[in-house]
Amino acid sequence: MRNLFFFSFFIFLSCGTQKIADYKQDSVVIDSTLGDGGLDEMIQPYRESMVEEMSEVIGVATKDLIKYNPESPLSNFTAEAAFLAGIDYSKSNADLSGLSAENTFAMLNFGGLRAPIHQGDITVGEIFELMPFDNTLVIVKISGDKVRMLARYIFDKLGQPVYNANFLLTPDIETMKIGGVEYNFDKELYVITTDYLSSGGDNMTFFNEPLGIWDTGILLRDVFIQYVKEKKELGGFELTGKIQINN
Amino acid sequence: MDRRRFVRTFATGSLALASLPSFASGKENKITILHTNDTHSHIDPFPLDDKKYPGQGGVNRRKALIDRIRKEEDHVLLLDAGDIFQGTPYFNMHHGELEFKVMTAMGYDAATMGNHDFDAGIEGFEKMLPHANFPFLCANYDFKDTILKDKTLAFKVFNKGGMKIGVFGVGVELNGLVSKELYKETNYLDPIEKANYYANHLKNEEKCDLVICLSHLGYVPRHNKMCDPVLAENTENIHLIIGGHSHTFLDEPQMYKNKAGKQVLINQVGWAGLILGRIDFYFNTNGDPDLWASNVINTNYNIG
Repeated sequence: MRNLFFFSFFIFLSCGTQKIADYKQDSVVIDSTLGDGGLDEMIQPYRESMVEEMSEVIGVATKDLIKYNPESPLSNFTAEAAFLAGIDYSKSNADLSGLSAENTFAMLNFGGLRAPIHQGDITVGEIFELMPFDNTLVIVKISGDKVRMLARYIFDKLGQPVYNANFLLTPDIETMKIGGVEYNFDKELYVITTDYLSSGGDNMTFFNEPLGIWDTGILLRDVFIQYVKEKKELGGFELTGKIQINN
Repeated sequence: MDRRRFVRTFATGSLALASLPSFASGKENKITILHTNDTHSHIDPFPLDDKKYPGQGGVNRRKALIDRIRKEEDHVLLLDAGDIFQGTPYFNMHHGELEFKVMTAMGYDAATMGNHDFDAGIEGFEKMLPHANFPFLCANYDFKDTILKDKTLAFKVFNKGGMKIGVFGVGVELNGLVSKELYKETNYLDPIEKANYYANHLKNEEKCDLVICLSHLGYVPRHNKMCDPVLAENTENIHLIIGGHSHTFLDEPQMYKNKAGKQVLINQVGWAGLILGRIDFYFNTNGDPDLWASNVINTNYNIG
């Protein structure tokens, strides 16, 4: 046996480098049958502080806030929170001194609202479920033509979360109001949205090559958390008919 | 055991192996590659009421499995193809510290950077590096004008049981995917050009027996045309591409032909640490990288 080993070793050296002869794959699904790797002790302090933060109650919902098209309590809550935070941010940025409720609206994406807010206590964890992505609040300035494309997009998608804008949309005609005043797609507008959408996410191509773009660096999730903390009680968000789609 | 096996093993391959002359003793000529991708801060298993993956995943069990494989096999290499960060509140709250710590505890040998590993900015990533006791391999991100200068490597050579295994990493284009404020002065370089350069270096200069590319380009193209099959077909000297980014669950490694008509394997195991990828490579002096795939050619591979 020992001789064989030396013989093998000799051959190994004399034959030069080893080459791949074959392979076999054996990937394994990770599940509870695999046992304990002993990492729990390392994880536990992180988990505890996370659970603690996630279970913090920041307000109360007087009713379920759920989402549906074209307008819903959940989309009204999120778009309003984004709008107010964007207006607030504009006051601290001299480049945005021209921004006002007369030329600005908020639009988020329906698909980005990942979970409802349930009636009762609202925890930080619930807001994380609603908005798990680290998307930031962005302000984009676009031309009237692009706003028309945006309106058409809302028609095609059968709605989106919006605030401070009204849409009456048919297959041929877009009618729009900003702050309750009729808008004729002739002026530039500011849209308060997210970095994901302003960079073309969800095929929002009308945000490509904007006239101006400002990333606030504020997480949309933090916008929601702040809004709940300030309001304490979340209710209302009644449907206003702000988006009417007549196919 | 069989139940947990993600894909059956290849009987044809094993038989062919048995018929080949083996000069070194059984264990000497086997390298076990273990790999993950897009773990996305999934420290804990999915909840039992999760619709898609109830009770699956979790780093504690992954470590138990890796520990067991290390006991069974002499030469194990554990690799990750990026997007370690982002996906659970562990990241939002602790910024990746625990992710790196558990990977260090599992004994990861190397990883590459995914786009989400820039989510805390390159400063945030740099701050977490002391918790990672393994190198990040980035051959096509030029960090020389950033805080990550000299903090990553293009490649690393591992010596396992007399074999030399060369590993390098390539990442996805950041522009349009990651905010410039996060990646700052990071310069994105052509992944194919860099892959060719480093694969050639590893194969022909470092004389590696096995060349592995950790890729965060994606198996299917997402935001430009670059992806792992394109990488495979336009490069030489790579044996295995361990992919990520597209969260693709490949039932088995896919075989492609490289620029020189030789075989390249691509594998990717979904995301969230749901699966531990494993590929065992067998070596002997008769094996030939040009021909090694012929041992398994009768299985239902789609030879490109």
